[in-house]
Amino acid sequence: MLARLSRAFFYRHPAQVLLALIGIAAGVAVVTGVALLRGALVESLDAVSAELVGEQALVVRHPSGRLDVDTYARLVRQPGAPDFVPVLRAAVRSDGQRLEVVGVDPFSGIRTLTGADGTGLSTALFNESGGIPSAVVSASTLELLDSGLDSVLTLDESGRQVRVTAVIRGRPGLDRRLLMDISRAQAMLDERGWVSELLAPPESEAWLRANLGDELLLVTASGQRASARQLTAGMRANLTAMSLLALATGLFVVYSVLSFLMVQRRRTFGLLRALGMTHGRLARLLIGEVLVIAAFGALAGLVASTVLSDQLLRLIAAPVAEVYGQLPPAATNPTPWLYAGIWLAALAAAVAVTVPVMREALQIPPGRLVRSFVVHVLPARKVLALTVLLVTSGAAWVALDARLVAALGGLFLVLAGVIVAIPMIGFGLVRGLARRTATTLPGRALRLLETARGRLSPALAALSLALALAIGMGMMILGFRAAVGDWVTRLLQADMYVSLESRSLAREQVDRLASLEGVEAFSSVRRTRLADGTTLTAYDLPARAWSGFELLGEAPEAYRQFSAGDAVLVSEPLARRQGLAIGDIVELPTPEGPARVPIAAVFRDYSSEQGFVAVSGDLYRRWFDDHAVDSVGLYLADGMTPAELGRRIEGLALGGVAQWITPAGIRRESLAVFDRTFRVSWALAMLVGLIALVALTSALLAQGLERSREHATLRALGLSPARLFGLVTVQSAGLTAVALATALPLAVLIHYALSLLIQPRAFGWSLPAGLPPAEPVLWVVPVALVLGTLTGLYPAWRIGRRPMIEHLRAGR
Amino acid sequence: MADDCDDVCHDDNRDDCRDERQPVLRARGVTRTYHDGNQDIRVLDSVDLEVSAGEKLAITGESGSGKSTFLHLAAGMDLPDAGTMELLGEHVNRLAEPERTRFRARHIGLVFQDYNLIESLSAGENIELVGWLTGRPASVDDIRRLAAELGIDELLGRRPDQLSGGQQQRVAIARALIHQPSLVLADEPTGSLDQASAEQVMQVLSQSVDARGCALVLVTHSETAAARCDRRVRLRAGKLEAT
Ligand SMILES: Nc1ncnc2c1ncn2[C@@H]1O[C@H](COP(=O)(O)OP(=O)(O)OP(=O)(O)O)[C@@H](O)[C@H]1O
Ligand SMILES: [Mg+2]
Repeated sequence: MLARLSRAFFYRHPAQVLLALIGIAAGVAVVTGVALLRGALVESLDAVSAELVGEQALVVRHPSGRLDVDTYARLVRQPGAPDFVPVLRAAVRSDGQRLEVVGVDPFSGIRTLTGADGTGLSTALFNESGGIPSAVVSASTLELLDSGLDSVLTLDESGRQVRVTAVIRGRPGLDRRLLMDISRAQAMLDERGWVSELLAPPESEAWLRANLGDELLLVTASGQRASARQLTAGMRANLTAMSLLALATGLFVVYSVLSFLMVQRRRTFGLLRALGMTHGRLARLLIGEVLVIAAFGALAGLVASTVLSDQLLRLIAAPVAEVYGQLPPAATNPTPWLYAGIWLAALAAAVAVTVPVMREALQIPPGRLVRSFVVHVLPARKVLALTVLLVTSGAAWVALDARLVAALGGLFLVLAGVIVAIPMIGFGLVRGLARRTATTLPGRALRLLETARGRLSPALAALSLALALAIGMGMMILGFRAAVGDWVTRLLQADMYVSLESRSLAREQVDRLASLEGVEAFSSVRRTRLADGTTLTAYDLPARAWSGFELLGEAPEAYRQFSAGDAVLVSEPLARRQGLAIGDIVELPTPEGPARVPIAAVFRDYSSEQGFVAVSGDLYRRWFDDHAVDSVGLYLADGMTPAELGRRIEGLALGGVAQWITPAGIRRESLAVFDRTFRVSWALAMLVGLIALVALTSALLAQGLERSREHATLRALGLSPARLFGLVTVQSAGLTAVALATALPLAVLIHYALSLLIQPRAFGWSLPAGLPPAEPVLWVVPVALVLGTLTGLYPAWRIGRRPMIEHLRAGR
Repeated sequence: MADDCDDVCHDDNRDDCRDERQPVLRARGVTRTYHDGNQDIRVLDSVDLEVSAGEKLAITGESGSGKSTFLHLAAGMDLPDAGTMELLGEHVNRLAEPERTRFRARHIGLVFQDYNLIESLSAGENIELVGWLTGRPASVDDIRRLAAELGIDELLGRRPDQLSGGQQQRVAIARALIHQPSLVLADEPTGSLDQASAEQVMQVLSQSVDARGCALVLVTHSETAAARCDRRVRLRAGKLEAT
């Protein structure tokens, strides 16, 4: 009997039930999708070794990054030696794109690579025609380079070429890689006698541990995973933060839809209670309803997320392989436990969000419920008190606790506080507008809208929050992108940068570059990983390059101390991670024993989440006696162009392939990497946008459908269909406009919270404070207004279509 | 205000040129059939009726006999399957929907069985509403005077849920009278009231109607209410019969 009561109501309000289902499904989908994605990122492996030998591949490396063939031969000759796969890897550039040559022996134990047409690729690696060595690339790499099968790729400015003889499909770990026969690669790269690493099957771990000796390093799959975990920690934290925000919005939409379902039936509840239904039974009835909706919604969300997460994974596989050199598994790995857990959590969350609504239905005396259609709203004083309480406690949490968790929790509290106040502000705006236009149709429409405040409040708050999140996330991503662009531009003070592919430049080579005609000054960089895992970067900088460092905080003495070798600089992520500040002492392991140096300044850096220590070249050479550098920046005299100097550099015969790039090129590449990395964030922002859409639809359906009796009364009293249409349009446009008006300041708040709190605590870097970018606003505002108005027209159309008598009868 | 007016005002002066002796309402052969699945229910079967200016007519009949249906047709809120419904000489069922709505707003006052006050507006605003819809806002004085007449002048600031049933019904009556309609259609206005309230409401309704000289069609089950009218008809089996 009671079940029939629920069922009948749901049948009559399919749109609202559908919206509740979508709200829950979207929330569950986002959380499950991100949980699966996080799992996949933790499982990430070195891209190349995973693709070539398998996920459990072992990797043997030399600390210097290069291994000579004699060492390899000595290993292979030992009894019981496994099947090694020697690999040569070298960074190259073609068509402005950064690529990696991966030389392998097609007959050693690599996984069978098959081409797009299903044939084996071994032969393709060997067929050399016209002296141009062949290379096998993935389909997406080919697309990236905008070339086709059998095309010839020119590498760097050296004019060396490879011919694409076959295409592999899938295999994101081999994206941006030119797979070549190792001996041809060695010849081409002038690396005869050297390999970069040896891959070995997992069974050989015991043998390798016994036979490698002190000189060589063994990296296991689990070791790789651990480093992948560390590498991708920031990205995962960021994903989690975003997904939680999306979930919160989803839950809030569910709350607004469910609360609307409740409010609509207050009268029925009052009647049932008046007829003698006890609190307990009514509560059970309502919880039962919510559970049924949540159960189906969450199920749909789980199904959607399973599809979604594999899509998302594909989306991030390429940037993860590129930025971190890690390859996430090809598919996510959902477990029944995860699904069951999320499903149950969704049910619990849905019940939890309906409790406040239910309490109202249960506590108000039934007599008043039966009589009154007016939902009472909290008095302004209480709203303000609650807002102040939530906002201050959120702010206090953020201020007192430096962890990411606190930033997230604090942000949630602050958002909750603001949301509580939004209906008050929003309907205050409506009232103001209605006053100004009191005697016109829009004025009347707004006045009627304002009187429905109690019922529309949750919907308005949900809509405002969802819009604010979509806009705020968009602002953060674009703001971050601009910051990275500015940072790269500022950092790159030289006119061009020169490096040797896959090896460092010796001092003598640097001197030859520096003494070229047209070079006014030069800088150089050397990067090393210390025994304790810290990355150390040594800079030789002319005075004018110093402005490339954007110092955080006041440090007037920094340059003098740094160049004199009295102090070091640390990048912002490292400073945050280890809690370092100006004046602190860092201890660095050097060949001469631990060196203790003070920190002169902290500088902005987006190149590494782990962060690094910057030292002057002199100090570095004093410690390590290493005179090589990784790249040289050249400052050109007036009238000299990078292209012209590039030609002269080619003529130098440096004994390796020199590659050069201008700051503009590096900037372009960095932003391309950024865009690929932030695809997932965009996807999440879009999802939040979708949730905003659900919120919008639910808010407007709530206000339109539910008032059909009121609208029919107006029609009966003499409001023409056209003017009713106008009235409803003004109401939906007005509600959307008010939601946008309250969403914009909230969006700016979210933007700054993400940029200045979440990003620093997730990745370790902060974004310079500045005005938020306006593009997301320009996108969202018109779309929301148009959609909002259109959605609002549906109820008006429905009223027009159904005889008004029915609406009047239906209300009884 | 101007934009409220223009779609309503062009039939302003029709009242004045109307023949005084012409019936306010004339129904001829009005038939209305509801379809329920594959079954047809003929609720009204070729009903004829005339109501002249100043006349008060009571329609009685069993529950489900089609009284409300007839009233809805008379108000132009529903259309007959056959027959014509003439109001003030105008064939309402031949008017296009917007004209019909304007006509209703201008000339008809409606009192619903269950009040149908807009819950979110105050009593005063509910009365004001019609003026806004017709584009001829009633003056504050007019509203006050009418409210005083109906004994609700103290209650104008209250929301409907803060009023008793009888008080709500009096607000609904004020809403139906404020724009000086030629015809008041009242669907069981005392249906949900106690004896005393019903008596009181009927009294103010018939007095107000008399004072304004407009016609009243009253659907009612109540003997005392019907007794206040000039004439009574009864709906049975789809036909109107005089009693
Ligand atoms: N939309 C509809 N579909 C089918 N039948 C309908 C519809 N609307 C009304 N009816 C039927 O038409 C008949 C007349 O209804 P109406 O509301 O006019 O009765 P009534 O005389 O006003 O009754 P009451 O005194 O109870 O108010 C009833 O039998 C009702 O069931
Ligand atoms: Mg009836």
